[in-house]
Amino acid sequence: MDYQQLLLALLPDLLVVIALFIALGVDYSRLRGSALAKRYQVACQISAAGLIAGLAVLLLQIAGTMPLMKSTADGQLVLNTGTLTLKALLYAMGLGVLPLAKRDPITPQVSEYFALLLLATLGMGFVVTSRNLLGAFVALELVSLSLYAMTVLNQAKRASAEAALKYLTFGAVSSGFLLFGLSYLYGATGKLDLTQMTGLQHSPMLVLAYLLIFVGLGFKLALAPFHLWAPDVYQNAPTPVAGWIGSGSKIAAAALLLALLQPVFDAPKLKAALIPALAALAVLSMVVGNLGALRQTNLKRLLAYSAIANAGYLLVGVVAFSAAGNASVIFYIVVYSLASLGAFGVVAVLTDKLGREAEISDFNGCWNTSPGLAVAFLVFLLSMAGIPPLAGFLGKFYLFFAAIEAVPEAATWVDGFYWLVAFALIMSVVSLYYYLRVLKAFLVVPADNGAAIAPSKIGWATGITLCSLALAVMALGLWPEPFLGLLKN
Amino acid sequence: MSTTTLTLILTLIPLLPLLAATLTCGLQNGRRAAAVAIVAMLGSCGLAIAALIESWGMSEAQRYTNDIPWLTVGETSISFDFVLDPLTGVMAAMVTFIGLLIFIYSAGYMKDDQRMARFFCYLSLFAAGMLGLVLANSLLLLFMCWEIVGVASYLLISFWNHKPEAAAAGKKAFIVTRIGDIGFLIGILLAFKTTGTLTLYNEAGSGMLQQDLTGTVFGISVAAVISLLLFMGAVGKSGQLPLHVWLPDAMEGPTPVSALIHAATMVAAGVFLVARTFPLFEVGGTLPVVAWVGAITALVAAFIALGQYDLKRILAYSTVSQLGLMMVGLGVGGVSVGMFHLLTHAFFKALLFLGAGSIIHGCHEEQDIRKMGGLAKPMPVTTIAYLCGTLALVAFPFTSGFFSKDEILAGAWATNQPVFWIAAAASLLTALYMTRQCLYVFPGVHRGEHTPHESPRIMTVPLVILALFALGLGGLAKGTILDKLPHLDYEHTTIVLAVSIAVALGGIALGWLIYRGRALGQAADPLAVTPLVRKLWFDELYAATVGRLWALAIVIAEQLNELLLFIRDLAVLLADRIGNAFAVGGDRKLIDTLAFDGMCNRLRSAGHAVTRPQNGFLPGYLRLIALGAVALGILVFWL
Repeated sequence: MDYQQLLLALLPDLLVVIALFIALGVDYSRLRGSALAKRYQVACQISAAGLIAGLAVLLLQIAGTMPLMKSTADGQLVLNTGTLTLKALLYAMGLGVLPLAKRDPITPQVSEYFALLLLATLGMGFVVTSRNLLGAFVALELVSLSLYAMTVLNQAKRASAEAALKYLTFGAVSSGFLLFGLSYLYGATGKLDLTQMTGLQHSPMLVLAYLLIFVGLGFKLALAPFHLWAPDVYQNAPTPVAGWIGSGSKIAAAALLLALLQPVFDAPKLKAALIPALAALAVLSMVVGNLGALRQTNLKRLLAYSAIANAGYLLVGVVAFSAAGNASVIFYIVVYSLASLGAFGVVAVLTDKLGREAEISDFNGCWNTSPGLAVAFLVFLLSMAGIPPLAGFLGKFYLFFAAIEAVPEAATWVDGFYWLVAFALIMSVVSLYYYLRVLKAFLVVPADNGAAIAPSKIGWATGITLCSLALAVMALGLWPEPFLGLLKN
Repeated sequence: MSTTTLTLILTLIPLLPLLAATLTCGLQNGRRAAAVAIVAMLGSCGLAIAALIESWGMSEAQRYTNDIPWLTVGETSISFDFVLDPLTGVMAAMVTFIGLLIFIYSAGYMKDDQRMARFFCYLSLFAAGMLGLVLANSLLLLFMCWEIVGVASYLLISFWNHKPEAAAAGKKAFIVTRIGDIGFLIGILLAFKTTGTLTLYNEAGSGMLQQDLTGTVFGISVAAVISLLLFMGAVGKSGQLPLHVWLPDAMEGPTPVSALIHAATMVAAGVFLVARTFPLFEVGGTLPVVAWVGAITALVAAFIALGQYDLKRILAYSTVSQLGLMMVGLGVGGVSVGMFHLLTHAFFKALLFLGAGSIIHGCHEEQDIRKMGGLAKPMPVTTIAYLCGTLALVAFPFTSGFFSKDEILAGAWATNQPVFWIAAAASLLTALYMTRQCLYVFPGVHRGEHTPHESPRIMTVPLVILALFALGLGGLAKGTILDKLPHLDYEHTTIVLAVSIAVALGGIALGWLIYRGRALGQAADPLAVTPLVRKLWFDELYAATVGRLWALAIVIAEQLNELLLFIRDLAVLLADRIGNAFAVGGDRKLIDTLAFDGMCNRLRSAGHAVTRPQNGFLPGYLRLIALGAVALGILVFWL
């Protein structure tokens, strides 16, 4: 193995790790006893510097100006424009989480907070670039463990600890399922490298392996019936962490699911056996997510149910088992994640002075006090609801189109995925109800007793983050082709 | 010029005004907004002239197209296509140049308006849409820009929306043009179905206009059907009969808007559309339809113009009439003839409108020609410029209107003699109503209450520039434009020239005879007979037919709406119940009953008030994972 090549390939990750250690070191030595605000500031700056440096190297790698190996021999790293773009996107989104995390000093363990954020980001980067069963699993565990720990960071809050415990227990069980599934997959094929698993034959063992994988990844994606942790965790985790759980880790999990399903593409019998399972998960998630969200009064809990529903839509693209379907899934999860991170960002900015988890009615009259935030929130939520010209619309359109195109010769509506798409369409109509209910609070309803929720100073970093997220959601809706082109490479 | 530079130039031409629109929408300061918009327009104008020069070097049938991918759906991809050929080049240069002059003029005209920044935002948006429309190489992009200019026109007509007439006029313009747009849209869909692409031209030669369109729809040639549907859109946008009714009302907008949108550029978009898709009309054999609709519009509108007293309304009907003549030009002489008149008309009609704006400004917002008169002395620059525009419009020999109208008449004489005589009659009436208007406005004594004054230099300088173009452009551009753009073959005969000069001079003489020495403004006007003053009752006719039908439809729709509301209430009630069931019942109770352990734990720990009930759920939650896995297994293996 050429170590110089490996060093170049892993340079972004190394830079982030170095920043992580510097952040920890500085916080423990020089800033011992400094004011909390100061420590947050410094840790945030160092982490941001690391991510920016990593991102810069990644962009060079994507542009092809750096000599870069295509992949390692065992598929541990597969570096092409598609995977690198996703990794860069995750780094950029991680960069966006930092200013949100800095706003609200929830814990005295400052450097750990930022170190965990960086670790989670690193893990996600590895998940999307790995095509090796073991490598991907370890990377996914890195993500999960960091997220568990971050959920509990706010020790002053009992509910937070409770949610974290639930998350951890759930995660541990699901990881067990996932690992079990991966080991069956290995047992059936004798290979760890997903790119080399070709010519799979239909066998009960393989079907079982994939079912177990669905359970494990169903937890990460919050698919019903493996979704039960999501509402509690979304509600009680610190808002920036919830935002990161609801965006970055979703991208990683979706990318891993697609990578794991890649070998199934040219195994028609296996594919036919798996489709009912995926379709059932999709339908169940859409029902539970959309109907569950209808009556929520807590905004973050509502966003959790919306995440469940969106994971359901996502599977509509997965069942297509086509290149177009894969592209649509990645496009959708990216668009959803941008909007989700943005929505959590707005909530974080608006509620960090509130001292409790915000109810929807707390946002009444927001339009008058902070019109910019209200407009940004409008963009994010309408994108999730799939209203053109925002990217969420195109995302759904591509998903459904791919599902219908997957069986072009379908004679009746039950042959192809027409029924699934029709169901998803009906469910997205239902979803409009709760999205618009939230927006009504933000934009229409006057504040109770005249005092609308007011954010603390937004700050330029948060402002830029929210602006660029909103712009990205609009730009991807208006001109998706360049991004899709990068992914397809 | 390298292709990259050319792509950049073509992209920037519409993008600069769009950027200006984005920037100015956040500005409060009107002067700053005007500066931003004017600078953007200046840049656009420079680039458009560069593009024009480049396109002039192209041989016939050579085109530059580019292809920026936008959306790919399955096999079909849609892209931002721009095309550069002489037609595009000349149109883009005209739009940006006249646009620039009108932007400058507006900075003076709107100086005292509170919402000047907003005005420039809308104007820039309009310019961006119009330029996109001109450069578009796909019917879809063209249609989108077509709608953008429609919206901008709506916003600008009803810019003074505190006036109910202005608000109503904006709505009328939007809705009436939409009727034509339905046809346009159906035409686009049919074209896509037939050819499988919306791109007009491409390198491979498989663009929509490069294919042979054979085949029939309902027994009629498909090219004929598509071209007629597209022509419906053109009829709406270019104010042809019977959809012309919105254009005169659109004069409620600020005068620079009338000059830019409702005289020089947007209303000409319909003519441009026919020119752009001319091969379809040629193949479909629908050019006579275009010529006839144009001729009838030209005559009727010129008639109505005779009976109007509002300075701008006369010009508006004149625009409708001239647009009709352009259609005639396309129908009988080909792209070059119609486009040549479009070009000369854009200059002299913009000049006339800006002159009218200057007059109205000088007369303290008075628009009734009966209350004007005697303006020649206090407003010398405006008067001379206005008279130049008038001469060009009536096709006085050797002004630019003369050359372009002569081509139309020559083409009509060769291919369609009835149309020739109608167009000649329309030209006679044109000279008559313009003479009438000028006699009302300029000589004699002032009949208004205020003392008129000349407009500031920022408004008169554009007038002078446009006046030079109105006089000279026709003679200068005649040869090159007719050569560069495709046109049909026809002979020039002396009889056409004689008729052309005779109607122009005859109309002026007739007007002179009728109105000379009359006590204008006090005595009855011999030509303003009731049918003409009432605009041939078009509005009343529509109110009695379409309006009635509409009222009936509203009653039915209201009943239907009641029904739908009832169904909606039911649905909401149902959703409410289901949601409740899920939130309260499903999430908690389902797990409660499923998770026996959880229940037991809760019972056991009921005494310990400290233990929160949720903790007890956890094993139940976990059990559900296992249950889910088992259910999946059953589904896959046994169902």
